[in-house]
Amino acid sequence: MKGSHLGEFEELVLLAVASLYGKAYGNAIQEVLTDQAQRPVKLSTIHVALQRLEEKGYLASSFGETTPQRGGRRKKYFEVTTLGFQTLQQAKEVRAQLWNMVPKQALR
Amino acid sequence: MNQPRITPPRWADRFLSWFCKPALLEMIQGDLHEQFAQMVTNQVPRVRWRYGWEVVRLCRPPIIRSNLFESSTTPIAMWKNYLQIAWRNLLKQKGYSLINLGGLTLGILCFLFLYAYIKHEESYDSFHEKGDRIVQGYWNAYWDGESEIIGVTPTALLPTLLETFPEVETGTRLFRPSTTSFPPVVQIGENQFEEADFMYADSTFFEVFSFELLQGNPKTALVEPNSLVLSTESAFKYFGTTNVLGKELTVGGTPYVVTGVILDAPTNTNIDYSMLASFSSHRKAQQHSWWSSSLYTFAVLQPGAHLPDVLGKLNTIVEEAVGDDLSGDDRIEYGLLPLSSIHLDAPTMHTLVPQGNRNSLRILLAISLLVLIIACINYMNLTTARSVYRAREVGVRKVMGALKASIFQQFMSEAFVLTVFSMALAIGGMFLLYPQFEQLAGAQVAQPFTQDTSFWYYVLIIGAVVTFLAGSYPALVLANFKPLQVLRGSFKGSLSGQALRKGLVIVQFAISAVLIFGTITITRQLDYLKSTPLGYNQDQVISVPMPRAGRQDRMAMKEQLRSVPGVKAVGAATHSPHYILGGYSLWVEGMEQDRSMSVVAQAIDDDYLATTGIQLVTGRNFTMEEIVRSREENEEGQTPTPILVNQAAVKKLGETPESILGKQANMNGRVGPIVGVVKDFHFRSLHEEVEPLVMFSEEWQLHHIVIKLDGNDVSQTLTGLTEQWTQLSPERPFGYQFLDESYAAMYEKEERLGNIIGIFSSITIFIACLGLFGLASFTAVQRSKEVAVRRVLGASGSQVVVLLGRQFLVLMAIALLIALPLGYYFCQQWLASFAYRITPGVGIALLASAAVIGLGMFTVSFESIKAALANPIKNLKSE
Repeated sequence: MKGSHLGEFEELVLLAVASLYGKAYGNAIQEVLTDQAQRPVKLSTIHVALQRLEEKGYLASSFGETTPQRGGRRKKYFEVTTLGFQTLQQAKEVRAQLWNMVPKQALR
Repeated sequence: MNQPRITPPRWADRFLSWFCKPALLEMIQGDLHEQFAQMVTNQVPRVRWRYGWEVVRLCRPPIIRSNLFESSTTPIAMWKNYLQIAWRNLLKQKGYSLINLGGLTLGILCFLFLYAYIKHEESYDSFHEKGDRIVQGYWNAYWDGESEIIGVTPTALLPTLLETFPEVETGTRLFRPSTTSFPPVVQIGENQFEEADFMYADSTFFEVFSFELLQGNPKTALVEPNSLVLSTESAFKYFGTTNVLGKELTVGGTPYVVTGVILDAPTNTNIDYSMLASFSSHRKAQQHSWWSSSLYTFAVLQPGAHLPDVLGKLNTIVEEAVGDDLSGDDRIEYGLLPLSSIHLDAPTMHTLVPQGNRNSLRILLAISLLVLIIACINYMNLTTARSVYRAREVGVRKVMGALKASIFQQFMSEAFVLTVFSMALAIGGMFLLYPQFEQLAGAQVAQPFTQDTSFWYYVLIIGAVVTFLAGSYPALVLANFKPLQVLRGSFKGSLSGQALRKGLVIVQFAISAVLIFGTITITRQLDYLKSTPLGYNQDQVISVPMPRAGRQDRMAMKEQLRSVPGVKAVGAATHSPHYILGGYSLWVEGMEQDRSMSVVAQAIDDDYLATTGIQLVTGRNFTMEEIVRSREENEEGQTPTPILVNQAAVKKLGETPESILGKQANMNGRVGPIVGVVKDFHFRSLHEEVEPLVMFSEEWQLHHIVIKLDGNDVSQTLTGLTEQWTQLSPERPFGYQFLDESYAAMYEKEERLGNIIGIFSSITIFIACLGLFGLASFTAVQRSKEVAVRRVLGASGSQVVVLLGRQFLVLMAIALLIALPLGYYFCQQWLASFAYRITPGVGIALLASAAVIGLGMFTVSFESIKAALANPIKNLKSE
């Protein structure tokens, strides 16, 4: 199945959308990621990721309100789909299992 | 905030809306604008740039719409259609396409050749590594209120520069014997060759100039006395191989050892030599003098050296060295010129390789621009004239929703297609005609196709300019057609267009007429130069350098030469009569003691006048006794000599030929009576007036022999002379020159200009006639019904021809009215450089007019005769 894989950055974006529940649009996502992940993220990178995630069915979107800065263009809010949550959950479990397998001595 | 609001760059937004999926556009653009506003508030630097960068980064698969290059509404597909229609139209109207193609190709070809030539002329000595720091020394002499720039410098210049100035890194002197005297003779076995490009050079030669050595060490090759470095060409000439290190060659009687072979260098250099001998071999190397200039001095300046400082100090040193020997207001001023400027931009002076001429380059550029314009006018005229045939197409396109801009684009693309084709043909033609071009240019010009990338940029630029120049007007006309008018079927083309077309034809023919006028004038002037009586006989007279035997016993030598069958007379002089040099000051009895008149002068012997046919107005020739007496100086250290003057000298002295006879004269220590007056003869080219000339007797100055042949069997006589010569002059081959050829060689430059202008004017008139032909056949077709009606009502064939030809005749007459005064003006300018010249008068004007009108009417007559002979019924039937 083509494109069901969840990349590292995509996972971050997906989580950011989830955390911004109801208020997740491009610029907000960028802000969260820049603050939390401690790395500068380009808006264009986020949009590319959002499109991929929507294509894979992990995200759904709907138009929202507008502001003067946007020149009358509406925001588009994203929300995580059930499939998206499942995938996130899976990814988390994989990580947890792997964490568990790490021997205590290896952790310094 | 009073500042204008910063907005995102428009191009980025446009680009985004072009590639972005429509469904995403609103969201993405909104987010971007929001971010932009945020950044502006935070005063992030270069926000617009950042915005653009974001947009560019968005240009990735999930954002780009899938049908970007496929949609039938995008311009790309339309362009495809335009090109296809353009191609079909080219094929449909083969005749017109050929006319346009031919004209544009010729025009572009001229331009490309000119590019290569200008590039060549401008690139002189640009290949030296230190090229931008090399300077050539010269001096400015102010004598007797006149100034002269002299390119040869004295021996002391370079050593002084090197010793005194830390700014001067290194330098080299070149001495070419053939500049001041006869070319040295290379002796190899039995054979002798004159080697005009033999030069002496300082050992630092290879530090200054970037010539590569095939054999030998550049640091040491020119150090030892009697070392010789050969060019590859002369190595092959004398030894048949380049493996010549250590071999011996005798030049001018001195044996030299070959210490190096130079790889063939580019031809665009002032440093042109066939062999270089170490300067230490020459006695001048020991001299340190500020007088006697005969060397070419080159120096390399340190990076950042300040030239005016160097020159200021140098001239102070020179002033100290020579100031005391200069009289009155005379002074000398040294200068250094960048080597790269010598060929085109330096003042006229003597250089190793003759200088080029920036002005003639400009003239050529102007002329080829005119040729290109004529070709573009052809395209404009023919396309607008024939636009009627495309009117319906334009109408339909417009009805279907085409905008003015897209119609404009369509017709521009047609011009583009044609330009591309002519470009390709022109480049091909350039490739094929390169040898002919080099012959015309009189130089080896590097082909620009492979090494020179700027050539291709230039090609692109010409392509764009031609497309725009030729295509924009017709495209504009067609784009402005009103669909309703056009489709109703009553459309006949606009009247204002016709006026413009006529104007353009006038321009074309005016340009051609000016060039034809110029060609005729130059040809006439060249004929005049060749046919003007020069005052001496140049037929069957040869001149040769004086052989060594002649210096010891001139009488015996002359007797031996005269004994050869076919020789009529033998005389001797300092110079051959076609070009006499030598500046002297003459004082004549009756003048104030400290006054003098500057004259040109040379020594002659008693047979010179008879041999060259120079005529005496009054007085007598030299006698043998007088010549013998002039061998000894008198008690005051003066040379007693009889003196001959020409009429110009007599006139300038304010005397008459009779009154001046017998007066005592003194010319730089040569004293004696004026014994005769000779008729003025042209001892320089006809650029110069005949100046006062003095001829005197002084045997050591007789450097040339002139021999008059009877002309019955010239080759037999020459063979006889050669045999006799080998006995008289074992050290030098019989290098004779016919006077008439030497004289003609002085006008080589004018001859070349005449050829080039001739070629250009034939090209312009040809292109203009092509265009005229196209227009004429178009009018003939347009008026075919009218002609048919006239024929039916009884008009004769010749009346029809006149009817159709008349309008073009008027155009050409107007063109001539404009062109003839212009041509006259330009020709006067050119002729002004000749002291003796023709007056471009009614004759030339009539000839030029006849040529233009004749060719024009001949072209038009094809179509008008065809129209007149056509069966009127056929033309009337087709309603």
